[in-house]
Amino acid sequence: MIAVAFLTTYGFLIVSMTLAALLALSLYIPFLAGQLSLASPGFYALGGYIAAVLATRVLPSAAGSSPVSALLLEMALAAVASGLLAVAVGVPALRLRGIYFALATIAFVEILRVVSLNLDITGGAVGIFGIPQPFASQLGYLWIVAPLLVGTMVVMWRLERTRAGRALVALREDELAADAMGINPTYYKTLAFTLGAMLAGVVGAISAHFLNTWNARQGTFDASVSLLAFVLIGGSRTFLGPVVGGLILTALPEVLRAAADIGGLPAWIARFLKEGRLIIFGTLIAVGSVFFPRGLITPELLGGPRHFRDPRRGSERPASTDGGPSARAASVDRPRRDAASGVAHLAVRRVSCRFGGLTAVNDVSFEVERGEIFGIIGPNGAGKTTLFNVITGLARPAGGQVVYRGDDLTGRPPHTVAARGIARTFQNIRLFGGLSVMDNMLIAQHLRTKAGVVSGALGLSVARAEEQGIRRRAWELLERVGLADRAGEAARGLPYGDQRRLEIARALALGPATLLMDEPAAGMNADEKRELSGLVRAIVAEFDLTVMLIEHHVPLVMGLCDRIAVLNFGQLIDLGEPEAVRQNPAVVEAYLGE
Amino acid sequence: MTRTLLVQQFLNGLAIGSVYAIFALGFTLVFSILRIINFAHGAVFTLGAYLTYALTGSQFGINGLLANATLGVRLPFPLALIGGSLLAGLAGVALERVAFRPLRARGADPLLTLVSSLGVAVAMVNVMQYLFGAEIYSFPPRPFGNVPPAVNFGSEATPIPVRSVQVIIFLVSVAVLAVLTYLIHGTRVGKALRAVAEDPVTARLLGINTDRLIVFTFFISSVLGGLAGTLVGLSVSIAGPYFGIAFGLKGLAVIVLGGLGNIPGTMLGGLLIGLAESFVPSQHVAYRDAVPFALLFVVLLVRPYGLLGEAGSDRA
Repeated sequence: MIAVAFLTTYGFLIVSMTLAALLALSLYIPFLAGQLSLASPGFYALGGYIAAVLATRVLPSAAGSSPVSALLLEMALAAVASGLLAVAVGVPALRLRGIYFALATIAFVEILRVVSLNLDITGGAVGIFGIPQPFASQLGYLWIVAPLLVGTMVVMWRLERTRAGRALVALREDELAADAMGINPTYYKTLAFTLGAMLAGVVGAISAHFLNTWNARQGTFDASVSLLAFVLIGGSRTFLGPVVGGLILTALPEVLRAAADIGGLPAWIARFLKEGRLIIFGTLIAVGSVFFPRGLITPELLGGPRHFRDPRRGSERPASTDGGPSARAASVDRPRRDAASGVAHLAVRRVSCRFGGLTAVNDVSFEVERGEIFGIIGPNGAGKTTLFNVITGLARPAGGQVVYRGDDLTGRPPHTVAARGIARTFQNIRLFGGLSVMDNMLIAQHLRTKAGVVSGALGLSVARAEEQGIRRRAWELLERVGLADRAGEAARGLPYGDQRRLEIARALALGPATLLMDEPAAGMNADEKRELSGLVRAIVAEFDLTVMLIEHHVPLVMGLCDRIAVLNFGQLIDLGEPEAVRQNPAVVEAYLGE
Repeated sequence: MTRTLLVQQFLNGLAIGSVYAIFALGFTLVFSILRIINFAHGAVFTLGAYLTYALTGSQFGINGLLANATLGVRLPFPLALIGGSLLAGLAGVALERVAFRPLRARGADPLLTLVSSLGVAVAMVNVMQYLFGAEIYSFPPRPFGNVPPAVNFGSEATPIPVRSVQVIIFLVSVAVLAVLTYLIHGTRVGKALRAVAEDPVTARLLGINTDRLIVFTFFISSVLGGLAGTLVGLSVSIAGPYFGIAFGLKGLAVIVLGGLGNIPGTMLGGLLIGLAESFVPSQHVAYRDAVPFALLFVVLLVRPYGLLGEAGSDRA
């Protein structure tokens, strides 16, 4: 009986809390991809207006009430409209970075607010009144919002563990590295932005009925900042954070109001609790961010994050440790037409690249043959890394062409280059540092899997089978480089040499035909360098690779490479077999001789 | 549009634009050294207006805790303006102490600092509401004594009257911008500020006391905020405790338009937005509040880092 009384009294609050949790999730989804979008209230307002207009003008209804089916239809339409608008706004706006994007989304919300304040169809400043009620009491809305919240949470839980969710997290950790792993940043950022917008639109449609009235005060900048507070105070590293943040922070002012009604309090305290509850609310947000910098709910709080669990405890690790045929099988299905047709494996033709007044690469041409280990040496600033960046699409050449197995790759984005079979490592190691070693390996297999948001979120068997496949392959590759024991650790916690080897394993996980390694031995001691040399030689044979290698350590390059190109001040000054290069006086002068 | 109206709109646009500029410079100064947007700046703006109002000896409304109270002093408006702005500056110092320093000391995510400044803003706005009530306050009429209510920018035959208040606002703003420019480019403190903005770590290694400099920046920033609040309040009225929130949003549009952390950019952005707003045709005047944001959106699509900004200036 008490429970029933409680639910009836607090029906409005309970539904409000649930709606707030959903809205917090709508902001959290783009945040997962590293995008701070404050646009949710705009889509929320849009969804609300769609429902309000449809319910009061279009859909037939008995006076003051409306069937639940009409509400569901409005929710669907709100989702579609919000989604379309999100794509239209997101595609241009997501080119902006960081805080610029955030402020552009604030601008979007403000523009929408002013427009809705002035249109006839939205009822101008007055808004729309008397939106019909599908339920007899406010608590009845729980029939809609509770399943919606639970459903969204299940989807988020699955999403964070499958391909699409991992792609989003990879973008948050390091957009450039994610791009080089074959993840299309524009697509996934727009996807996350759109999903968040659709959720906000749906919540708006429900809220319009729930509040019975809708006007331009719904979905303003104030709402944007409250949602941000929900996410950050709740915790932004798991979807449970925003949910908890939304629930608690919505309840808080009401709890304070209720507390004021407790008898026996001095009058001034009661008055302060009632009228000053937003003062307390604001103070708690400020204090909360100081004392809970990672939010109330952290992955550690949830019984240890899966990333840091001992991998051997799980049954997913295969018993056999012999390297595994499937890892190698990756390269077998690759076409061998380049060998037959005589087309160069990788041709760099008259490539130049400039930064401002500096010509980093100047009219460089060479061809790399299939299966060779091709070294690039040169003093600091010779343009070696820039050349890699041009080949992999990270830098746009001022002139020239990069042709890979007959395909012109010039000016293609990194994820397209990766999809064609070129993987790379970075001079200054770009692992997804906050994620586990295993996650790094899974993200790198993005191109080898197909599961989208829907199949991943629904846990379809296709997605599950795919998931098992890439996990098995990740284990095999980790075994190969000797990192299987560290699969559960955070990548940034690994010793330096292990980070280098993980980067190589991660690049191999793409299943490339060509591997570009940028100073893989930097910072290693002599033993490690020797070991690395052996590893490179072994993987070339094992994975049927062509390797391009930038290295400063001359003995290593001389011993390892089939041919060597020498760059100096952006120009190719020599190209040939190690012994010939070593004896070229120009090379000696530029680089070797001291 | 007649020539008279054109000139009037232009001068009004300059006046409001220059207030936008000094307000937004408060954002910019803090951003340039901390790479954080201080969301409580709008609340400081409101506070400055209330403080000046109190210092003129005017009576508070009936709804707040301070119902019908007056301050013991009754300063002439120009002095109250200075006093109110300086007090707002002190409030900014307190703000830094409460919402920024604890997080900086822990090396927290800049986003989190944004949230804590937001929390302080919510608290400040509601404290003001608790104290002063939600009603609209107007400054006493004729704050400048015998200055005539309008200045004629035309000839005797074709007068182009502009409200004196607008002219004074413009002059005050220009004076403040000049002082600020001198402060940044002509003094030791300014040099230190620019050094920290360029590279905080190196600046600290060179012996610059960053903490003290940050406090100083918050003081100047909040003086500017409070001053802008009073000027806008003078031009229109103090429209309640939430007065600064909407204005704060426009300030954000200004700083992004000009390029984050860029001082000349902020001045340019302020003037542009002021002018753009004042030239909205009267039949579409209801859409005026959307103008800064529409302008911002369009500019960002063409120049992703604002008019005078450069890539890399968004390390937020």
